[in-house]
Formats: sequence, C-alpha cells, structure tokens
Amino acid sequence: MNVFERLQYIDRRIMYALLVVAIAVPLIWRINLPVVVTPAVKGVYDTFDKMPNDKIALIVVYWGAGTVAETGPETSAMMRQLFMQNKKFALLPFDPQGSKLATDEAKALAKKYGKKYGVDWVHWGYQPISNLVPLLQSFPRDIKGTFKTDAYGTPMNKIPMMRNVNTINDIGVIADITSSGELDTWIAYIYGSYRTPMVYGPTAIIAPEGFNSLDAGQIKGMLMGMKGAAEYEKLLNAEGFATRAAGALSTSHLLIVVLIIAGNIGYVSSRRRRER
Amino acid sequence: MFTRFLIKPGAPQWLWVLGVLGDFLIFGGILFGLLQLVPVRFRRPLIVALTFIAGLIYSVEFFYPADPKTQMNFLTPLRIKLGEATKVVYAFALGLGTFNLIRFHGGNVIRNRAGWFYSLVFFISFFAMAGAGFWSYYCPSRAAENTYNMLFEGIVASLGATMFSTIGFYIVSAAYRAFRIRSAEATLMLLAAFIVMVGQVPVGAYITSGLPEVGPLRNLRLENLSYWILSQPNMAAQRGIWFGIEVGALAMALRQWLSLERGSFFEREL
Repeated sequence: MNVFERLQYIDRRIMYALLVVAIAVPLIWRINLPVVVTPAVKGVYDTFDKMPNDKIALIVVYWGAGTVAETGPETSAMMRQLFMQNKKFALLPFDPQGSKLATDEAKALAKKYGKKYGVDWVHWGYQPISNLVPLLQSFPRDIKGTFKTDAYGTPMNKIPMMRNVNTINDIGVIADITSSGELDTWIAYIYGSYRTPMVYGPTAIIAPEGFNSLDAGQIKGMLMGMKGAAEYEKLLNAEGFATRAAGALSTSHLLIVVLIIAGNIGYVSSRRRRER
Repeated sequence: MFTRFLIKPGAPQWLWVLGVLGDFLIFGGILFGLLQLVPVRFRRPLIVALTFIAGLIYSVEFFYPADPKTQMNFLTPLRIKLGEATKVVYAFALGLGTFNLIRFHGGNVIRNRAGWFYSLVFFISFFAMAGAGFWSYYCPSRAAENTYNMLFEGIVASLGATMFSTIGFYIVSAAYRAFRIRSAEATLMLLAAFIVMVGQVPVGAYITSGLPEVGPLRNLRLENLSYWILSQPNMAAQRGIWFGIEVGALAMALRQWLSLERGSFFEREL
C-alpha cells in the first residue's frame, strides 16, 4: 500500500485531534473573513424592523445547552435588534435549559441597553413542549387567560407592557428559535389562522427544511445556525459570539473538505492499482 | 372543580396543590369507578365514542365559520377550556415520570444490581438540582442563587453542550468515510456537499471574493451557489418528502380518530 492509498484509512483519532486544533486555533488567534448577508437573514431583520412599536414580538425558545453555540447567538441577535429599536418582546421557552440561558442573555442585554423587565421585555414562563398544541389553540384569542402570570408569578395585568396585549393581534412578529422541528405546528395553528409574521432561527442541520416555508412566505426570514447569526450581527453592526466564532466554523468545514479529498485520492489510487 | 369553589384566590400555594390533588383523586376515582361499572363488552364502544366526540369538537370548531367580530364560533370557548384541561393532564405526566425514575433507580440501588452506582448518581443529581431550585425559588439569597447557577451552568448546561459537541467528531469521521466517488450519483452528491459546506461558512465567500458581486458571474460565487442549492433543488426535494409525510400523518390521524388503529393498547381487553 503506497502513501496515496493510505489516505483512505486515516485513523479517526488523528481526525479528532485535527478537528480540535481546527476549532481551537481560530478561537485563540482570530481570523477575519468576509461575512455575506443572505436574503433569508435580511428577511429576519426587515420583519422586526417593520414591526409597529405598539405591538410586541414573541421569541419562542425551544433549544437547550446542547445547541447554545448556534441558537444562543441567534436569540441574542434578535433581542439585540429589538432593544436597539426600542421594541418590546416576550420570551416563551419550551425548554427548561433554554429558558434559563435565554433569560440570562436578555437580562445582560437589557442592562447594556438600559431596558427594564416588565416594561421592555417579559418572560411568559416555561411551558412543557407537550403543551404546545393546546397552548397554540388557546393563547391567540386570550393571552392573559392562557398565561395568567409571568415566570416570576406576577399577574399579567400588573405587567406594564402587557396591559394592552390581549390577543394574537397584539403580537407583531413570532420568532421560532429551535433545535427541533416544530415550525410546522406553529405554521398550522398560528400563521395558517392569523397570518402573524413569523421568522425562524433553527440550527444549521435542520435549516434546509425551512426553505419550504420561506419560499411559501409562511416565514419571512431565517437564520441558518451560527453563520446566520454572524450575518445578522453584521446587519446590526454589533459584533457578538457568532462573528468571533466564524473563523472556527470555516476552518472546521475546510478540514472536513480536505479529509474528504484525501480519502478520495486514496480510494481512486487503490482502484487504479486493482484495475491494473 | 371543587378547588375553584372552595379555595379563594390568594390562598397559600400548598392549599391549591392539595385542592388539585383532591380533585384528581375524587374525580379520577369516580370516573374509574364508573368505567368499572360498565359491562366489559360496552367499554370499547364507549372509548371509541368518546374519542370520536373529542376529535369532532376540534374538527367542527375548525370548519364552522367564526363570527367576524370576535373571530370565535360557538365551540371556540370549549376548545380553549379543553386546551387548559389538556395542560393539566400533561402536567401529571411529569409526576409519573419522576415516580418511574425513582422506582427504577431505587430498585437498582436496593438490590445492588450491576451499575447501581450510576443509579446512586441519579439520586444525588436529582435531589441536588431539585433542592437548589426550591432553595433559590422559595428562599432567594446570593448563596442560593450561586449554588443553583453553579449546578446549572457548571454541570447541567456544560454536560449538555459536551454531549452535543461530540457529534461534531463523528460527523468528521462519517463524512470522511461516506463521501467517496463510487458512482456518478455519489460524485454529484459530493460536489453538492462540497459547495454547501464551503459556501455556508465565511471562508467560502473569501475563496470566490474575486468574482464580481453583480452581473451573471456573481452566480458562481460559492455563497450564492450554496444558497441556490439550498433554496431550489433542496427545497424541491424537501417539499416532496413533506407531502408524503403529511399525507401519512393525515391518514394516521383519521385512523386514530375513528379508532381504526390497531396496537397493543387497542387489542387489550378493557
């Protein structure tokens, strides 16, 4: 077996070590690469931008610590735009981990932009995902009847920004940020019935499924994982984790491509030898 | 039910918890007793009828025209109430799940079964996290908050992130082994994968940054090629797959609504 043929049998431990290096090095020594904004990401920005200030945005958090590297920056960038444009939002988490992580991020951003809980943002409280369908059937027509208190037990009527928020008509945009595939349920029960503008923040691995809804106009924009978040940060002109990690994302993808090419060189070499 | 009439708003939380449990035991007991009184041969038709009526409420509510002023029809209030009732039923699943975990791992520890140590870890983790949660919720203090954050961010969140991150290593190994140019189709897939993988990261934009941003040549920029593959051929394939899935889901829903579904539960004598 010659050198080329050996390329198709690289030990997986070597690949793992190379991946660690490919991710760690750009995080330590930053690589600046161009970030090009795609139409899907521009759609998210424009949808929030056009939202009237008398309505609130609903940010649905259905992600946990496992995907925080992708969904965390997406959530953060959306909250950042809303705070920057003096728009109000409510958090609706369906994951206990995501609830805590998104709340911590909202608190940090609120402090940075001088925003107040209850006035500029509110947490509607964690809901188990098994509740999704009954919730989507009841809250659009009676928000305060469905979510009687916020996450901290304060009655909805006593929260200043919730005083005039009663039905789905008072919600300007719904952002579904998720590591799972429940977008169709939101479209079926919410967009299908009420035509509330929706934007989507999935992990990169499930993003391809979102193109159906994007093309059909059921979602107005989409962030494709961390790359989408980096594009969004560029639009906001506010650098965050996604922009800083874009180099590591690039090197790890390049490593995979190089390994695939190496494996194929080995495969073609051995096939030619067999044919001879 | 009774809870709403007997307990006034503002009553202590523990009284509400007792009231809900009482409701569950009393009404659950009555329902269970009534079901036991029904002759065996009528039990299945009864459940079939109840399933059909429950499904019918949602179907009629969806199709019956709504009042343009209120956007509601005569069944909408009932649907909202049913939604709330379903939430309560789902909440009991949490208690049932906890009970099952404790029973299973408790058995492992008491009987000293293989791997009992991991069951012990479950109990330590369960009570530590629950204790810290209750402590920080009911007796808020800096110490309670720090303990909760240390357990949540230091252990739970980090473990979750670590578990998911390991997938990245498997993806590298799997992609290396799977993408071989064994046939024309495999080569086409490899080419598409190459464009999407590189075009989806900033380095893709860097590689073809020499191409103009306007005009026909812009279509050859890797980020644009990648976006085209995702938004055109990928979307067409996804749409086809989803049509199939949704038709199957519709058939499945109809089978369940009309109690035509066969399985371990439906075959059992009630």
